Amino acid sequence: MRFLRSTAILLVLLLVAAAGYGQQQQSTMNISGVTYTKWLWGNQRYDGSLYNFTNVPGEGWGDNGQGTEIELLVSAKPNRFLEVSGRIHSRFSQNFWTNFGGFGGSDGSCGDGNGGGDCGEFDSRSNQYVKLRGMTVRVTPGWKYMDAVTFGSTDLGMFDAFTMGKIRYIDRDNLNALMAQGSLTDNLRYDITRISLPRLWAGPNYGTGEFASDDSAYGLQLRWTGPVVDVTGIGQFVNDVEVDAGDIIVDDGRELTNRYENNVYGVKVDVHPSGPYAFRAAYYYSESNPNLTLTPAGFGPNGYSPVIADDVSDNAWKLNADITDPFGNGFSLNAEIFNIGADYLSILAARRESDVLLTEGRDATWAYPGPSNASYGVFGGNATRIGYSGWQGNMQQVATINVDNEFTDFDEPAAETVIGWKGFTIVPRWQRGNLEIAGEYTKIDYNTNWQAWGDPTRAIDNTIYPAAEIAGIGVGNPYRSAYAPFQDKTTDIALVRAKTTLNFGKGVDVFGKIKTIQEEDKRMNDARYLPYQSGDCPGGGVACANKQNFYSPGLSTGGGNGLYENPPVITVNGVTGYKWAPFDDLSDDDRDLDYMMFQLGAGYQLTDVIYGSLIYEYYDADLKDGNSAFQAYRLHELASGQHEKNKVIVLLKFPIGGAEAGFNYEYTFGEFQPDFGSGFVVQYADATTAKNVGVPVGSPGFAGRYGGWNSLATREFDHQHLKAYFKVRF
Amino acid sequence: MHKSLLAVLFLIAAPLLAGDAIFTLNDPRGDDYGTGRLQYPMSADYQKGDLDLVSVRAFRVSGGTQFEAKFARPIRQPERRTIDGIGTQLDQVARLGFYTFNLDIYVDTDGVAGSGSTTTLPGRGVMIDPATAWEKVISLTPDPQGARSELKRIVLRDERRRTEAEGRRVVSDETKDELRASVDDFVFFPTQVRVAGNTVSFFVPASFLGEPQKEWSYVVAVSGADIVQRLDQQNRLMRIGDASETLMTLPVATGRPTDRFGGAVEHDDYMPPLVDVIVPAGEDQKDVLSNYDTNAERAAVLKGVRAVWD
Repeated sequence: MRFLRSTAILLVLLLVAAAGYGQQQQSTMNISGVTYTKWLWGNQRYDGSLYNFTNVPGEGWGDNGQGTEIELLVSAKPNRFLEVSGRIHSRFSQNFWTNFGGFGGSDGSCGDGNGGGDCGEFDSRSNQYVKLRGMTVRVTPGWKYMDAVTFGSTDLGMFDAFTMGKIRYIDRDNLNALMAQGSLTDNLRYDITRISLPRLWAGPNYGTGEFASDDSAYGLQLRWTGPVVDVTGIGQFVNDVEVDAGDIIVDDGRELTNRYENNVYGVKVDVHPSGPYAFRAAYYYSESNPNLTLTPAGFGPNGYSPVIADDVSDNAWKLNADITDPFGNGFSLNAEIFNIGADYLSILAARRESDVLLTEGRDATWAYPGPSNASYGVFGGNATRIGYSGWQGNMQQVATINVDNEFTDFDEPAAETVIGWKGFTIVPRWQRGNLEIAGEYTKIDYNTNWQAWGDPTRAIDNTIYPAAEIAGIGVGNPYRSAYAPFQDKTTDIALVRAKTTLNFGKGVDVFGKIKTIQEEDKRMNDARYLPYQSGDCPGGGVACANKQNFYSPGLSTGGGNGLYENPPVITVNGVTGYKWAPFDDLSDDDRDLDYMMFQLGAGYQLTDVIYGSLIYEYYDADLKDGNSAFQAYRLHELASGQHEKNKVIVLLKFPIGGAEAGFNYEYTFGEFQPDFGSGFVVQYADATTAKNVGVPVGSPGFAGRYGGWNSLATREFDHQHLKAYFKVRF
Repeated sequence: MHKSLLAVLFLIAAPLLAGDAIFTLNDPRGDDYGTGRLQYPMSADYQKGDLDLVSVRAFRVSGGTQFEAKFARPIRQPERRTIDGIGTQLDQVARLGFYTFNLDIYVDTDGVAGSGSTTTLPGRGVMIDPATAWEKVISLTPDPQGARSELKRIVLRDERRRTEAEGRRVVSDETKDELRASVDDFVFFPTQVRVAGNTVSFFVPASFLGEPQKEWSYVVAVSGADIVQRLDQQNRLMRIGDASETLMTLPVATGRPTDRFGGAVEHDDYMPPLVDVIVPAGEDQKDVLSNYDTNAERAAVLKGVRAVWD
């Protein structure tokens, strides 16, 4: 009886629901919105903003606070040929609930953007300002050869991560463009666009110069789609111009001069017959031509720019094979060969939220140099931002040094550069029922393996390569650093992961992974580059003679402008010796990483709507990353030693109709036992050093060439943070 | 201890036991155009062939039936990418390994004309021929828990509207409970799913569907899934009407949009957003899906298909 009544009710109601479908499409204008409420908590006690991480000058980061964003969406369809849409959106930034509405002036502590939301009513970071976003007009003329013309915002999602990729900066559609899309034949589609070049970052020195409003990029993509083969051709042409300073006669207008040109060409072939085999090939060629009179002509060891300071050209290519269950036994295989040139440069390549390689790469918990993920932790005032935990999951790979992980929280994916990578990846996979077991083996060699930046005719502190935090430092690799002055590196990544569902209750999702990374980097491998002559520092408390060794006439890696400098002789607690070990052997900067991580997790549908996961991860890294002579290129915390890191993660997801709630708590604890070798006198932190770099007074360590402190004490880490959110559509 | 270990090993190994093929439903390759006018969204998430259903096979396995749907192109797997302003990851929402489509199977188990339901799930925009009216629906969707919860909400909301139309304001708790339970009685959203290349396999327990019979007929329909757009307001601007009423179905609109299917004529509100359906032999999908009348407020009607048994 109950069955019949239920049947009747359900059928009637579904009939109502289906009939409603036809009645909902009468409106031609729609106003809707979404509001995000975020709750951050963490024991780092930063409250510079409601994002965990940024590098942008003047913006803050933090792991504490509550705040709300609102996004109003307006769209209209004036007629069948036109669509108009836009958003008005506030930002989390420093708009904490504790601001009490943002009234009042600043207390003066917000200059670096880390002032805890007290920049006051007259500062855009904390006055709950809203901005116009995503204003777009789309015309769909219904012409045979043109589907749509778009004016305004776009995310470039129709293009390609190697050439013009998705570029998020707060929003995913910050770019503005004029774009036409359509079909020339049934199989041949085109996308053609003129992009207004973002002045914030799309050029040398992260900018497009003073005359920015006319800077542009043109893109053309042709896609031929067949039943078995798809072929895509892409061209991109970036033109950054300036007003010619030499044209002082304005009566006939003013001439322009080029600041930066970047041309990129690509072709992709996708072969997908109906059987189990599919193959893909992609080839890209780039030319990058900065005007060196208007842009940086060279960099020191840690230069910051997304553009190499010279005319360069290079290519990037990859080949993929996807073999899906060819024998009907659940076994599949994916393979990839890749080669990304050291000088490959597309200024509009995807900066994040893309993954151009098959490998899962490194783990995002080690995205920054040093044991604590500090940007420049060897100096005071540069403490970690994202924190010891880093980001969750593995890194995503992007084909640019212009990587952008700005305004992210710890639960979001982080990206790393693959400029210079070459190698292969094999991913075997076996699926049967609910069980999936997959593996990966990746071998990476580097096109950036060179000595003295690949050009021994230049001084070591004058390179064309912007190295940012410098490649290869720390357990992982600084995410946007592709270049180092000396590199002779290979990386091997191997992993096995599995997941299944156990038939307990509603089904328990169980998953796990074990992964290893073996990495060796000889860095300097030629004695001609040693900074000082053999026997320069005899030891026994005798001062070094400081006789430089020259790799080219007048050029040395030692001395005032070099990477390395001989140590003074000091006496500490009656022990006399060098302040740090002299760099007198090619092994002094050697890197050898033996890395393992293990993950085990389970997920369960706790109620009809709540899904929960519990994950444990263990990381173990035995790292030799140079000794006290190397000093991480003088800039970063030395990471040589034994690292152990544990993570416990609790996740909850709770969708409720038009709302969603989420909860992510992560407890990370671990230990770093430094091992910086020998050959120096152990020093002890005084009160000033202790305060500057956050170590106990009297703890052992050594001060480097520029006074940066590397602690020899075992460091115990305990990092907790959580992010909870509530998202409501209305 | 050893007994516990054995139990765990059994639970892992149980799904490995291969089932016997029961039947196959075939569909022409290259007909992922719905009414013939439907066009994929101009989005990197879709490409011609992605939602082109080629076949549906069923296997008898321990405890139920394993369905295997094959598409013309490899199924797009959700990446780990942020899809909204709060940091939600696509692969956390679409945990089953796909995110671009829904696959609905309406099963007529009694073979009695006029017995069962002729409606379809919200948002699909078609009706079922009374001759093959369904008794059970299997809806493979990227977010089954969300869809199930949403459907219950829709059913309750419609009951409230119906109640109000009758001059009453309160829906009793007993009725609410009964309605929620009825969703589970008639609609199943698979959660045991695996994706491999062009194929997605999903398990339907016998406790829901019973043992498939040769007399049963099936309506199989593929629609676009609205999982990303539902979560990402930035890509959801031109939604017309209440998105939640469409049960995660990507709608169809005029022009060539980026976030919906294109190809509709203005005010042609009854053009179904279905990309590919299996129609009986001798019938043409374009004709079937185009056989609606907006002026008369009449939706297209799909007829069940008998499977070819192995």
